[in-house]
Amino acid sequence: MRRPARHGLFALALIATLGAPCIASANLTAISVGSFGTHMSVMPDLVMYPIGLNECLDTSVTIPITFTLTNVGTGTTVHYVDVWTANSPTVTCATGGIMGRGNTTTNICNHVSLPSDVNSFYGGTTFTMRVEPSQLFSGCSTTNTLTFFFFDVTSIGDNSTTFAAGSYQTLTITLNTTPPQTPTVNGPLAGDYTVEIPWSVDNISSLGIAGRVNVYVVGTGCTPVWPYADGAIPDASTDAFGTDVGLDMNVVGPDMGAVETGVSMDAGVDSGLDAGTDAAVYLSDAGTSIMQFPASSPIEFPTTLLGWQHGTYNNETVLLSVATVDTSGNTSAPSPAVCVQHVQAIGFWDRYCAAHGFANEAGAATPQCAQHFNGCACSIAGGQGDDRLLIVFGMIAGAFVFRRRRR
Amino acid sequence: MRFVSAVLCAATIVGLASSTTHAQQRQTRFDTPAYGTEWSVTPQYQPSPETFTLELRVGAYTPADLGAPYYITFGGNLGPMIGAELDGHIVRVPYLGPIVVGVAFGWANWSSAAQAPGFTGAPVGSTGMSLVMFTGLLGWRIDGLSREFDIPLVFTPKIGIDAGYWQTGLEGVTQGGGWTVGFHWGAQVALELDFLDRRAAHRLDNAWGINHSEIFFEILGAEIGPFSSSMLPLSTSFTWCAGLGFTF
Repeated sequence: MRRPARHGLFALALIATLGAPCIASANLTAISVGSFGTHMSVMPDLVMYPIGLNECLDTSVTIPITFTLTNVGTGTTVHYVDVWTANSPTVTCATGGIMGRGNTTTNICNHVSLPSDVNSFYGGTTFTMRVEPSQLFSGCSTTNTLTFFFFDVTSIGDNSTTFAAGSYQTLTITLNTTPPQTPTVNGPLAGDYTVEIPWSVDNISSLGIAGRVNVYVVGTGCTPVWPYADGAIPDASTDAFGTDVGLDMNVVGPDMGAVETGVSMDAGVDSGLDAGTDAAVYLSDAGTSIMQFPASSPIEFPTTLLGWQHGTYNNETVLLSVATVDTSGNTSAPSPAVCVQHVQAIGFWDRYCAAHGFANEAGAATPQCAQHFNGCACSIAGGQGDDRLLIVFGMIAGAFVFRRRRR
Repeated sequence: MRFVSAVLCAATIVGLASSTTHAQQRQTRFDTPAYGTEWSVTPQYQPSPETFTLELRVGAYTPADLGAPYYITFGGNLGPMIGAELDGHIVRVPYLGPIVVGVAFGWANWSSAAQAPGFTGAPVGSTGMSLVMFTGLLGWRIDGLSREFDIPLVFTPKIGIDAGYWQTGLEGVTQGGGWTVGFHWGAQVALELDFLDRRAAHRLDNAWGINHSEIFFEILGAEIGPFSSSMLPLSTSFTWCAGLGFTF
């Protein structure tokens, strides 16, 4: 009689501790996260490449979290995915009571309030919950890494039940609200067919695998600075090393370098290059974004994007600014604007064509030059050369014939 | 006494039988192959047929006929030109060496900073020109010194025709391009490396069929493009290349 009694007590205790949640709900046995925003569809991505500030604030971005359930039953009871988050990695919110979700003194676990149309379901063995990042990170205000606990329950806010291992799921998500470093761009720059913009940050790898660079047109009409007297202003390649004190745009005036806090960056003191246009620069991205590039330096793009045509030079200028974008989608403050001017570049072909009468007034090669020297598909018209070619071809052909006959 | 003798006799027979058995076991273990067989079967080196020669080369190439535009833009840029040549041995002249026909491929690139007109200080992007050269050639590998007198030198005069495709551009944009054809000559001296380690050379032949490896130096010239005004003259009257060669 004693042994069955002990077994009965043990069974009751087991039901009391583990059976209650099993009876009340199904088990969440697997979890997966679908792709959203700039993220791939694997869960570590959420930690390695956190949710960015823009993604967090964008209510159109939702994180699809899919659960696999067992022990669902056949009833029509509405189930809920109850979400809690721990304020420390060492806290497990699976525990009910004062050691976990029920601790109302220090709130080591916090309940995440979700609309019922987000976290309610019934029937089926899989359930996808689409939750906005701002619902997980209230206010999207600070960079934070949180571990979320997902429980399948029949009533929201249960803070007393202790869930057994394997009956719930966790997910760690990082929110990154810190913008990447503002790039440094050295100018002035010039280009004919293309413009190269060398830029730098202290650690380019901090932008992540999907880091990008935005280029903004923030104004036109900067004072032409090209060409200048040889050596008067070192070119872009030397400016990067700071060896040109006193003459280039970066040095004169207070606005090149640190990002300013006002609306106007320079009040027109720096070489007259940007008076009246810097307001657009600092209004973070208020300029026209002309293109987004991979995060490698230099950026290179055709001047046709600026409306410039090779062979036509009217001292066209434009002010460009550059901002970095990290993998989370956070955008840096724009760099100080640099003046870019459309100038004629002379290369080998321009010189060769000019020497043979195939250049325009500006000294640029004309299209007729390329047509004239295209070799005419190797057809040689007349002349002694034909005979010599035929002789060599004949010698080679004869050699092959001779070898075949020997065999 | 007779019994003792019989026992001794029987013991002797048994002992002999036993030793015979051991002897037979030893023979069984070592009889095939017999001692020394492995030494005696070392084959005498028989060179494999020599059918092709492959050359890997690098050298200078300056298209001097382009004149001042080339020198102003690229200065003394020598290229380099890198390439490869494959010659087929079609007939061997006794005591002298094989006559060969071959094909060759070469690539050269010249680049420098582009500049604004009348301004030489500040580069505006870059400018460049590249040339891909295809050559058909006829040559005579005179290896008689090496084969008949163990002097490891091979001399090879060559003539051929060139077909080159060139492109030139500015700031990454192609401005012009086309084909240019012409003639080619070359004179090569090669040092066969077999004498450094003949056994290694023989093993290389046995294993890979490579009869000879060599280093070579070649002087060459090309008349490319002067036969038509529509072709870019990319001739070079005298230049050089060097590299590695393998006859197999």
